[in-house]
Amino acid sequence: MYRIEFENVTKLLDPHFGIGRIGDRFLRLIGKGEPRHLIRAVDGLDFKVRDGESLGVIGPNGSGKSTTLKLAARILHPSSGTIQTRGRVASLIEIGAGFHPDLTGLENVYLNGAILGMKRHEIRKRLEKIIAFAELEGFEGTPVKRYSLGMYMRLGFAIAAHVDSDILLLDEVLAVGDLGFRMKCFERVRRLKSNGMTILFVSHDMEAVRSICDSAMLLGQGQIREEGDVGGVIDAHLEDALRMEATSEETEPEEFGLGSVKVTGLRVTDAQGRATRTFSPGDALRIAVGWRTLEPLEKPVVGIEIHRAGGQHIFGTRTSWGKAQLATFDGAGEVELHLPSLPLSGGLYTVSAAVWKRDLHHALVSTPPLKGFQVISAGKDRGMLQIDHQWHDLRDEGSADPPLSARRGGAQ
Amino acid sequence: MISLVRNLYQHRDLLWALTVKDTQIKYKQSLLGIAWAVFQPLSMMLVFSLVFTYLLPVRVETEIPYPIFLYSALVPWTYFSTGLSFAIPSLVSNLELVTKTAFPRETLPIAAILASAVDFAIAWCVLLVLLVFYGAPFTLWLLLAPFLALVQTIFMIGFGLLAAALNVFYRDVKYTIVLGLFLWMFVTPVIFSMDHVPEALRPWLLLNPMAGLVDSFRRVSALGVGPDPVALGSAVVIALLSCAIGQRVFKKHEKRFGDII
Repeated sequence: MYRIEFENVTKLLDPHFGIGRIGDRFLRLIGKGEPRHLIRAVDGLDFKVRDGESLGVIGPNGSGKSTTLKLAARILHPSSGTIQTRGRVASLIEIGAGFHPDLTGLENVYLNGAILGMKRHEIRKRLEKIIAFAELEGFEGTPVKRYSLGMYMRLGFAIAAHVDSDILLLDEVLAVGDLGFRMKCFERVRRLKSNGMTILFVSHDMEAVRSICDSAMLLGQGQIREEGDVGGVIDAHLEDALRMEATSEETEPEEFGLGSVKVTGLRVTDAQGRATRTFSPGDALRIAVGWRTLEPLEKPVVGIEIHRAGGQHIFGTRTSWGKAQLATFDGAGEVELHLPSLPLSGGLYTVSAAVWKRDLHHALVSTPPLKGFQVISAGKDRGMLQIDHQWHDLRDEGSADPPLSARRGGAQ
Repeated sequence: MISLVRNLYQHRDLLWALTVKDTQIKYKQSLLGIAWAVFQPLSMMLVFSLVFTYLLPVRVETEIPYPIFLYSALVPWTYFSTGLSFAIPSLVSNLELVTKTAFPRETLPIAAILASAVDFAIAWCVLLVLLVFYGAPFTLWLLLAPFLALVQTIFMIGFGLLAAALNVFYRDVKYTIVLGLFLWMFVTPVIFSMDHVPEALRPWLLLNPMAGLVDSFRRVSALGVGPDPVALGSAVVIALLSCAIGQRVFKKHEKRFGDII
């Protein structure tokens, strides 16, 4: 059974409604005046979500993600096409939307719960759980305007997470509160999912999408660019982002740094020094940081950080942490980091660099991610790292047999 | 009409929660709280009484004192004007709810009206006290008051839905209504009685359902006599008609609220 069905859905928005000169506004009211510049926020969208499936919706800003979610929630209505949802829908487009600042936490639970479609007796039954989940015991009687931002967000999420629905629509709302609460939110969503709830999840946080969704959909200009397996769709999205970064880089070569030392660029190469963007797990990789100084920099330190694109910090190192002690920077040059064997699994990664002066706590230059590279894995292992491993069948352990398989992660 | 009632019944818990909210926030962080519900019509009564007794004496051919005559009309009128002035901007003032959450939109203006009905009920209880105090005649006609309140609420819901929907598109509606309510009071027998209206103009007054309603309310509560059947009858018809139209217009434009607001 499909819980959500979009059939050729288009949504036109009129961003200029009610603004402009007063004369134009009157002309428009009687159907004359300049034609409107309508925006196709969503353009011919066609997709289905099965019962119990969770679909991640990703894409750059303005690609129609939130509009899609609002359409599914029936906050907006399609200009053409049809949308069907089966079952109770709970939507959390923005945390705490609908809280009234003057009302107490408890009063807001009743109000917000009712807005989310809960009956009064349902709210009463879950009241304690909601307050406990939000960690707000003792603050139920305080007006929410006196809550800290964290308390406010926790309460908002807690209410929505306790709605009894078949479909849950989430828009970028898991980045809530401190780390502990964030993990609690994830846990909660995963539990709802394992209880069979159908989830439509919009996010820029690729790791969140990876951990929650079964499949994903990449939107661009209101259309589906890519759909299917989460990893593939995320990579397609990040490739787009890297390509945009690459093209913008060619048009305007940039230097980073406001002071007397600049980072002039990053080069990602293979062991032979050839520029490349694709690697296999276990390959050697080199990253060169170009620098230039306006006045000599004594005791320089160079650092490099590798992130999984749109997500976790993978690795970071500085020259001062190893044996390398750099001589005074004067003029221009390059410092290169050699990674003899890349322990990463398939995915996209970004590289950024920074320059310090020894014993100085802040970086003199710190660049945003400048370069990206892709690791293509032929292996089936999951996760972010390719860790050297062997399997043993312990029944054979007595004999001097070799291990069951020995494999160095990745491409053979 | 029927679909509206069914829909509201289905979402009665939401309607209740929104009404409670509107009632609560009106008097949150105020010292006198709900007592304001009484102060407003009472102070208007005081001012109008002084003005129309001493400065511009109004000749009222009834045996009841002028303050009672006034207050018995100010109670429904205040309900009408405050109810609408909360209901009409209700969609825009709850913009966050309209753009971020999904629920039947008509509950917003209707909850605003129902929250004013709470004030109305309190003010009406004070009216009863005043009637006892002034020794006004109590008759069985008083039992008609809840029915009048219901008819007025239906009219307000119709009018409120219509204006609230249009206000989403053009804020001019809100300002027009503020001005309009002020003028409207002077074509409604609040400070004067129906008898003051020239014979020739009276049929026109029937187009204003508030005229029939306020007059009937005063008759059944303060004068202890029955309502004018023609005035009340036309008010009932117009109330039902406006509710049907208001709901129709609201439903027609509801789908665009999220885009435009």
